[in-house]
Order: sequence, then C-alpha cells, then structure tokens
Amino acid sequence: MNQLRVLWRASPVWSAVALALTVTEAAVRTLLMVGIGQFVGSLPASASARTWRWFLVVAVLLLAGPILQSSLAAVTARCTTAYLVHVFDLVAEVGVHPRGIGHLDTPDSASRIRAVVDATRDWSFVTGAGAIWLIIGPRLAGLGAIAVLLPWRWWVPLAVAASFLLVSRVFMSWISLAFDKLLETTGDARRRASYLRSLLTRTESAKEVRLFGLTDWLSDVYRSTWYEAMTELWRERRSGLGPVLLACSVMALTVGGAFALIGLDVTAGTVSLAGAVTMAQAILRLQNFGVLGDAGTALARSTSTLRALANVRQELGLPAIGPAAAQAESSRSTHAAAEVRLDGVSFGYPSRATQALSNLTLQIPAGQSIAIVGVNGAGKSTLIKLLCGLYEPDQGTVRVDGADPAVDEAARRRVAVIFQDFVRYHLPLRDNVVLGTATDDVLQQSLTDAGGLALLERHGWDTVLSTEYDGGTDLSGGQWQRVALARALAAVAGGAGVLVLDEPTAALDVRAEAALFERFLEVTRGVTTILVSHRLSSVRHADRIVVLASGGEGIVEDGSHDELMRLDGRYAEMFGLQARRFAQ
Amino acid sequence: MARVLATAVRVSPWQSLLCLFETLGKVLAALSPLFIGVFAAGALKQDLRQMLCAAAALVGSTAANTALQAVGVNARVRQMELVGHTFDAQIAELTARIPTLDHLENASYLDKLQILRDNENALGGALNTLINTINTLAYAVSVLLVAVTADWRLLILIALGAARLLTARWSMRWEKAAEEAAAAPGRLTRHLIDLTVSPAAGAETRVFGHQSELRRRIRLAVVGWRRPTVRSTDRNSALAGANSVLFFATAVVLLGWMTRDAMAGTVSVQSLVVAVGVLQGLQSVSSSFVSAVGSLTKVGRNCARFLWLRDYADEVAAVHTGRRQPPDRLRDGIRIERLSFRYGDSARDSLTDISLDLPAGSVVALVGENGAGKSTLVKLLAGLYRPTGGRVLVDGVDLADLDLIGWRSRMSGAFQDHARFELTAQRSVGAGDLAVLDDPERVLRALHDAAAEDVVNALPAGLGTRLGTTWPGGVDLSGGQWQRLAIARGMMRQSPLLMVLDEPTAALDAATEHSLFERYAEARRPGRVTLLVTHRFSTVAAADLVVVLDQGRVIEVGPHAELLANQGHYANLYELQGRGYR
Ligand SMILES: Nc1ncnc2c1ncn2[C@@H]1O[C@H](COP(=O)(O)OP(=O)(O)O)[C@@H](O)[C@H]1O
Ligand SMILES: Nc1ncnc2c1ncn2[C@@H]1O[C@H](COP(=O)(O)OP(=O)(O)O)[C@@H](O)[C@H]1O
Ligand SMILES: [Mg+2]
Ligand SMILES: [Mg+2]
Repeated sequence: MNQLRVLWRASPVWSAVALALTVTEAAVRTLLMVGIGQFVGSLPASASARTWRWFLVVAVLLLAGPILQSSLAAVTARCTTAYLVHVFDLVAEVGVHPRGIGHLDTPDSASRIRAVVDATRDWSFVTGAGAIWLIIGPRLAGLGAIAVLLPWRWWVPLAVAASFLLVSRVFMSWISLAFDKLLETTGDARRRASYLRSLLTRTESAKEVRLFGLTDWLSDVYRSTWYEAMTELWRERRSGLGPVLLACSVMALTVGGAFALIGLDVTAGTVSLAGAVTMAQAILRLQNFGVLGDAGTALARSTSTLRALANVRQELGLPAIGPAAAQAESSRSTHAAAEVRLDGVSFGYPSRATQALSNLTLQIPAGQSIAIVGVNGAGKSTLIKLLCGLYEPDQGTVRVDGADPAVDEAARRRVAVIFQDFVRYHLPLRDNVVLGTATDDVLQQSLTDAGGLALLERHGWDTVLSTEYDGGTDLSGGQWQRVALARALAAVAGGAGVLVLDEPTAALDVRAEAALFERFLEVTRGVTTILVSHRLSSVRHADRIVVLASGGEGIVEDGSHDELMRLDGRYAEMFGLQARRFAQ
Repeated sequence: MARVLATAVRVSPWQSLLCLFETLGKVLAALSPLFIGVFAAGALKQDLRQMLCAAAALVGSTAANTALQAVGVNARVRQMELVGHTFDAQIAELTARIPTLDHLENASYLDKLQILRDNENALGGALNTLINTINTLAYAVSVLLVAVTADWRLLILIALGAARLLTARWSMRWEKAAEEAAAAPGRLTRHLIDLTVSPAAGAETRVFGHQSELRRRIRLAVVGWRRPTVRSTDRNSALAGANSVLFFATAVVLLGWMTRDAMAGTVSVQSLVVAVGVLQGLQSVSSSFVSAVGSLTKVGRNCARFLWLRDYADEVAAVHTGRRQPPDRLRDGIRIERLSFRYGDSARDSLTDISLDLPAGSVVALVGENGAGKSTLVKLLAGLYRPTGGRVLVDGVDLADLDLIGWRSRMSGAFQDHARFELTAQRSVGAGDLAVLDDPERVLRALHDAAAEDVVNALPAGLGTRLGTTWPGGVDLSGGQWQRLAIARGMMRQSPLLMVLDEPTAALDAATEHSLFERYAEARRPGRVTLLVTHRFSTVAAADLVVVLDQGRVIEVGPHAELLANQGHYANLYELQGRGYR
C-alpha cells in the first residue's frame, strides 16, 4: 500500500515499532479467541485445573491488550509526525524543485498542485496518517481468525473472508469515487467556492470587502457555487450505493451458511463446545476484512491525496514518494561583476496568445549599470525572469557570464534580484534579510545600505514580521521594500555579480528614495546592475537606459540619459512629463 | 452544540434520520456477545434450532450492520458537508460583516478565529463527531444492557468507569493546551507551504537558492506544529493504559469469581460466555464515555469559538451604534478633530492628535515618509478602525453616529495594499459598484477613468477573462496591471462623497501616471473630497491642499505654493525630488 511505503520512507524506525506492536496486538487477540474457547469448553467437564490454567491465559491476554494499545497510540503520534514532515517536504519539493516556475503559473498544473495542497489541509489527511494502524491491526487479527478456522474446513473461512473483502472493496471504491471525484471533477468548482469564502475571511481583501460592501454578494456567490458543485457529487454518491447493498446480501448468505455448518457439526458431534465458541468468535472476527468505519474513510481519502501528489511529482520528473537526490549546492566562487547577454529572445506565456517578448537582443557588459523603462506590461519583469532562468525562452539564448541560468545553477546564483512582488516571510527580521546562515556583519551592513537601520533599532533582529504571531509586527510597504533591498544586497555580498531591482522604490518615500540612490552607486560598485523603475529621476543616473516598448516592439531606444534626451523620443517625453512640475 | 444539531435537522431532516441507521447498526453489533452466548448454550445442549436462531441473529448483526453503515455514512458525510457549509457560510459572513479589522490583524483574536476561518468544515466536523458520539453511546448502552443480563457483578466494572470519567478532565486540559500551542506553528507551516507553490515566491526562492532552506524551515515548522500533539498523546495514552489495566485486573478477579460459581453450577455457561464476550465491549464503554466527553468538549470548543465570533460581532456592532445616513453631497466637508490612533497592542500611537479640515470640493494630497501614518488615516476615514481618541466629522456629524455601511457606500477608492480579486476581469473591476457589477459599459468607463483599458485589451477573452493562473483558462497580470484594476474598481462608483487613493500610482509608468492625474484633476467635483496619498510631487502640486504627516502628526498644511514658500519640511522634500529632474 502506498501509504505504508511513504511511512516507511518517512521513518523506518517508528514504522517498524508500530508494525511490531500492531502484529503483537493482533496475535494477542487471536490467542484470546482460542483461550476463551478452551476456557469455556473446559467448564462442563469440571476438570478444574484445566479451567484455571486457561483462565490464567485469558487473564494475561486481557491485560496485555490495553498496554499494547497505549504504546501503539504513542508510537502512532510520532510516526504521524515523521510522515507529515515527509509529505509536506514532498509537497514543498513539488513547488521548489523544478528549475523554472512554469509549473506554478500554468493554469493546468498550477490548479492540480493547488488541489493537492488543499487536500493536505483537510481533516482526513492528518487523521488518515494514523488511521493505517487502525486498519492493519484488525486485518491482521482477521488473518488470525482464518488461521483458527483453517483446520476445521479450510474453505469456509476463505469464503467468508472473501465475502467480507468483497463488501469492503465495493464500499471503498464507492468512497474513493465519492472523494476522488471531490478532488477532480468538482475540484475546480469547490476550489472556487473556497476562494470566494477566503475573500470574505482573509485580511488581504478585508478592506475592499468592507469599502465596497461586498459581503452579501460574495456570500451569495459562495453559496451557489458550493451547492452547484456538491449537488452533482451527492447524486453520484447515492447511485453508487446500490452495489454496496448487493454485496452485503452476498455476505449475509455466506456468514449464515458458515454458522449453520458449525451448528450441524456440533449436533453431529464433530465439533466440541470449545471449538464452537472459538469458531463463532472467529467467524465474527472475519468482519475485520470488511468495512472499517471512519478510519477506513480517512485512509482512503489520504491515500487518494497521496496518489494525486505522486502523479504531480512524476509529471515533474520527481520520484513519487521519496525526495529527489539533493542537487549539488553550488556556492558562488567568483565575486566579479557578471556579463549578461540576451540574443534574439522570444517568449510567450502559455496562457497568452501574444508574445510578451519577441526577438529581443540586449548585451550588458560586466559592471555596467543599466536601467530598463517602459509602460506597464511591456515585458520588463518577464525579461528579468528569463534572465534568472525561471522560464526557458521559446527562441534565442540567455547567458550570464556565458552560462545559461535556466540550466546552470551557478549562473543563476550570480543574479541577485528584488522582484516587484518580493516575498514577505512570516519569519524574524533576520530571516527576512538572509534566509539561511549569515554573519551579523553581512546582515547589519546590508540593512544599513538599504536604509533600514531604523527598523532594526525599533524591532531587533528577532521580531517576526507578521502580526499573526505573538510579539510579531507588521511593516509598512516602504519598510518592507527596504528589507527586500537588504536581502538583495546581502546576496551581492555573498557573491552575486548582477543586481536586478524591479521597481525597488515604488513604495519608498522621497527621502528614502533619495537616500537609497545616493548610496546606490557606492553599494553596487563592482556588480552589474539592472534597474527597472518608473522614477526617471533615479533612472537617469544609470550608465545606460533602454526603453522597452510593449507589443513585441522590443527595445526602441538605447543610450545614456543625455543621449536619449537629445534624441527627443519616448524617454524624453516621459521624463518631460515627470519633470514639468519641477521646472521653475 | 444544540445549534449544530438544530442546523443539521433544519438543513435536511430526512438525511438526519438516515444518519441514525448507523446507530442501529452499532446496537446490533453490541448485541453479538449475547447471540454467541445463546449459540454456545445451544451447542452445549446440542440444540440445532437454538443455534440456527442465534446464527441468524449474528448474521443480522454483521450484514445488517454493514448495510446500515453504508447508508448511514452516506447520509452522515453529506450531512456533515451540508452543515459544515452552512456554518462556513455563516462564519465567513460574520467575519466579513464586522466593520472593523482588529479581529483579522491582531494575534490574540486570530488565534481564536483561525480554526474557524481556515478549516473549512470545522463545524461540519463537529456534527460528524456528534453523530459518532451518538453511535458510540448507543453502542455503550447496548453493551451495558447485555452485561446486566449476563451477571450483576459486571456492574462493578461499570462503577470503575466512573474513576475514568474523573481523570478525563486532565485529558481534556492537555488536549486543549496542545491545540492552542500548535496554532502558531500550524499557521507558519501553511504560510511556508503556500510560498513554495506560489509563482512569485517560487521565483525568489530559486534565484536566492532558498530551496533547501525553505524545505528545512517547513520541516521544523511541522515538527513544531506536531510536538504539542505528540506530548498530549503520550500523557493521554499513559493515562488510558493505566485505567485499562485497572479495569481488566478487576475484570479478571470478577471472572474468577464467576468461574468458581460456574463450577459450582450457580452460574450458567451461557452467562459466562456472554460475560467474557462483553468484557472488551465493557472496557470500551468507559473509554467511549470518555471519548464522547472529549469529542463533545472539542465540539464545544469549536462551537464556543463560533459563539465568541458572534459575540464579538455583536460587541463591535454595539460599540458602533450610529444609524444616521450620510448626506447626499458634502456641504462643508470632512473635519478631523484631535484624532489619535494606536494599533492593537502596539507600544506607540500611529496617529497623534490630528486636526484637519478637508473642505468639500477639494483635492487634498497627503504626503509624508513611510510609516508616517498616511494609510492609517485613510483607513480611519473609512471606519475600518475606531479612533483611540478624537473624532471625524462628516458635515458636522460624527462618523461614529453614521451608519457605517451607508457611509462606505458613499466612499470609494483604492488602498495601498489592494486586493487581487481572482474573478473575471469584468467582476474584479465591477465589484467596485455591485449595482452595475455585470454591466460591461460601466466597467469599460471605469477602466478608462483609471487609464487601464490596455490591461483588459491585452487579455485573451477581454472582460470575460478569468484572472489568476490557478484557474482553468486563467491569466496572470503584472503588479502594475493589478494596481490599475484596483484603481478602476475605485472608479466604479459614480458620486462618492469621499474618494481615497492611497499611493495609487506607485507601480505605474510615467505616461499612465500622468494621464491618471489629469483625470483626478477632472475628478474635482463640488460636494466631494478627494484624498490622495502619493510621493510624486508632480501630482501633489496640483492639489488644493497639501497635508504633511510626520511620525503620526500633522506638521504642515496649506496649498503647494504656500508650503514651498515656507521653506519647511515639504519644501525640503520637494527640492529633494526636483533635484532629480534638473
Ligand atoms: N504568469 C503570467 N502568465 C500570463 N501572462 C503573464 C504572466 N506574467 C505576466 N504576463 C503578461 O505578460 C506581459 C508582460 O508582463 P510583465 O513582464 O510583468 O510587464 P512589466 O513588468 O513590463 O509591467 C503582460 O501583458 C502581462 O499581463
Ligand atoms: N496592522 C498594523 N498593526 C500594527 N502596527 C501597524 C499596522 N499597520 C501599520 N502599523 C504601524 O503604524 C505606523 C503607520 O503606518 P502607515 O499608516 O501604514 O504608514 P504610511 O502609510 O504613512 O507609510 C507605522 O509605524 C506602522 O509600522
Ligand atoms: Mg513588472
Ligand atoms: Mg501607506
């Protein structure tokens, strides 16, 4: 079973202990059945010594049961922890392992990955992790019962067990139809319903929901979307119930036949009282092959989640249930500025009909500071993502120091970047600047260079930057931007040769922006810098400015500030718009 | 709890009845030791008829049990989903209906709210637990009856169970403590997992080479999240083990006693078989009472959280009693009097003693460094927080006396950290004025006002395109494009009294910004106040009034020219930015 293999991978030791306990418990139960039969059977004979001997056996077995169960509960909790650590790691790996990010923003695969993540948050997932032992134990005890019955008529226990198995199969396939369907057919509709609900409850959308009075409307759409998805599902589930009931009748006949046989054998004298009591218990114990309640349901659901996860992983070329071999962590050896070349690069997002960039050529010599300007949607951020090797270009080549960042980890690590929507980790300030190990010097220096020293003085390194945690704090947009800047500067200190800033000062105030650019040249000496900004007052200081036009026109202007002003083209026009107020 | 049941019955009475099928199955299962006893007695007497009757009963208790279970489970799961949804919808509505934001930002409130907010089906699960509890209890009662028919001495065992009920209090305390201790690391786990599958975070993770560090953090977070549970399980299972050992030790003594009587012939073999058979069941009786109490407490806790949310909503509603409707148009404007504000458990004020006049018909620019309190002021004007001191007067009427929903319906604008509504483009923008949500013309007009037509023109299915890449056929937008849609949303309402635009152009290019501001200047209407937060002085200069905030205080107010002439803070900042263009 899939889940067992994952458990085994997650923690061989705890799984083995849990398995040993489960097996022992099943053995105890089987022996108890025999013991009780012998004990009762010895009563009419009034051979008191024998009765007391079996009594003792029953007593010991009765006392052993609960001790085993308690130990199993404690072991299961640990096993489940190891399992969850492992599975969440597998999920995380799905996100972070592939070299590019195409799988995360192509609707098809992104929605399947999202569905898996959501399924791991369902109650049944954590319950299902522990449920396996609640399933295996009884099944093993069922095997014990077969063993007890075999010497009598070998085919009877097999037939009865088979009929229980049949019921269980039909029942489980009904359940998994009902729940796999939940994940697949109605998955999108249900997810949409959840999304609508999250708009109502999440902090991110809270202000707009209140300002525009969206509560009633969103609630209504949420309700109707949910009902639409579920009504269909309920119908399917109900219609799957027929075969289950049919299987139950087959099982009833088999079990009835088995009891009748025992009765006949007793009257014929071939089976003793002890045998009859033992066998009656054993036949009932064969129920353990049947349906096993909520534990079974939870297990079925978590198994199907695991299967979906394994599928997603295999599509991405990852091993289904184990982590991929660790990639060689490449440390950046050189500290020199890097050279960047894009040759005839074309790229379009799969979900878009038009290309974001077409036939773009740009060479940036090592150490140059270049600014890219252009209207929203011109493809500036896309260009940067290509430069980081996050997508592979449809045509053309991207090279950082002669190597392809989409293939060569070392080349990618030569780039340090602040994206427009940089990450706000719910972690301490320290980790938000450098996630991983860094010396205090580097941390301090980077934050100082980014103009965030006041932040440090106010909060200290160890304050979590989210109010969702005790003692945590929130930062304003501008404060966050400084943290992000510090993050990039720390990467430069760590050996990156290109510093890319995608609209770094959008949320900075005037003084902070001025302060930043005053220090910028000094801080970035020795690296190639690429700056994307709409603040032309900052852009003008770059060695070189390129204007990227939208609609695949590519680079339409290229030169220094003075050259472009003389050219009197688009750049000059944009600059004029912003400067007009200040021209006195 | 009664509420959960009542809801269950209300949403679907028949299904609720079907759920009881499962209970019936459980009762039949509990009776099987009795049938085995009868079967054994038949075997002893060589009575085939008695044995066959007992066998028939046993078949009933297995086959019928399974069939009833299937029908019951189907009903129960459906019921659980339905009830869960009913509560989920109520929770979402309650959360969204609370006019202020404290409950969504403050850690101490979030701890309570989170389980309800994030676990869909938290209360549907409660119903499930409730039905399971009913089932186990029905089973337990049947077992007790079987035991009593076998031998009165078995009742002593039941008395032992009482001891167990006493210790149950500890278990519950442990479990509750564990649940609370696990909340924060659980939240962190979710957050980090979300980062691994988000494209934006994915990009950064890769470039900075955070892959393995992020995974390490997730592992740590999961361990931290599970640790309290493991610890409470340890304690609970030790306690349960001790209880069971005590139980079975007593049971063994009683069995011995019965055996002696059986040998003496005062106890029948049938009774002894039933007694032995019912032991396991009896043992689970006390534990099922315990787990029933346990699950009911858990359910109770979730219900209590729900009630807390309701009470909190009522409390907030009670504090804000204003019912007056805002005027049709502003005569005088908005006056801010000695306004102070401090966030939840923050150590210092974010706004201190602010007094301001925002005259009707004016465009007011709010400038100041990051963290000066600009966004806070904007949110206070929208009534998203209650001032800690002072008040806001709308044409002389205290904001606290206004009907907040009414007031907001006469406001519009865009916030600094705007939401990204992953709906169709039409609705994402149209949500700004629900009355014309699906009217493409109005949305196109708003897009025009926000200089955002080209965002939609570039979409594969125009206004009908779904935004957000995790949706089938969905499309992602760049940060600036999302911002323009947010502005367009703010342009949907036709005649707001107050328009707030909090750094609306931070991510926009020069040309778009320029054309936007030309439109803002046109937006100057009698009877309306436009409040603009921006760092771009080229925009500020066009405002009628400039307000300079610094560390939560107003330090300068006046028209652009006047402030420049004053050579103060504002002139200083202006000079700083202007230098870049000369
Ligand atoms: N993940 C994505 N999926 C589909 N289209 C995208 C995605 N990201 C950006 N785009 C589109 O590609 C074009 C270029 O976007 P972008 O590079 O972000 O522009 P800029 O940074 O210049 O504002 C835009 O039309 C944008 O909507
Ligand atoms: N939700 C919050 N909880 C606690 N403090 C906050 C919160 N939001 C903002 N602050 C603090 O309040 C002050 C003012 O913030 P804000 O109004 O966002 O500034 P601005 O918009 O002028 O940049 C800052 O010091 C900020 O850290
Ligand atoms: Mg961009
Ligand atoms: Mg702000």
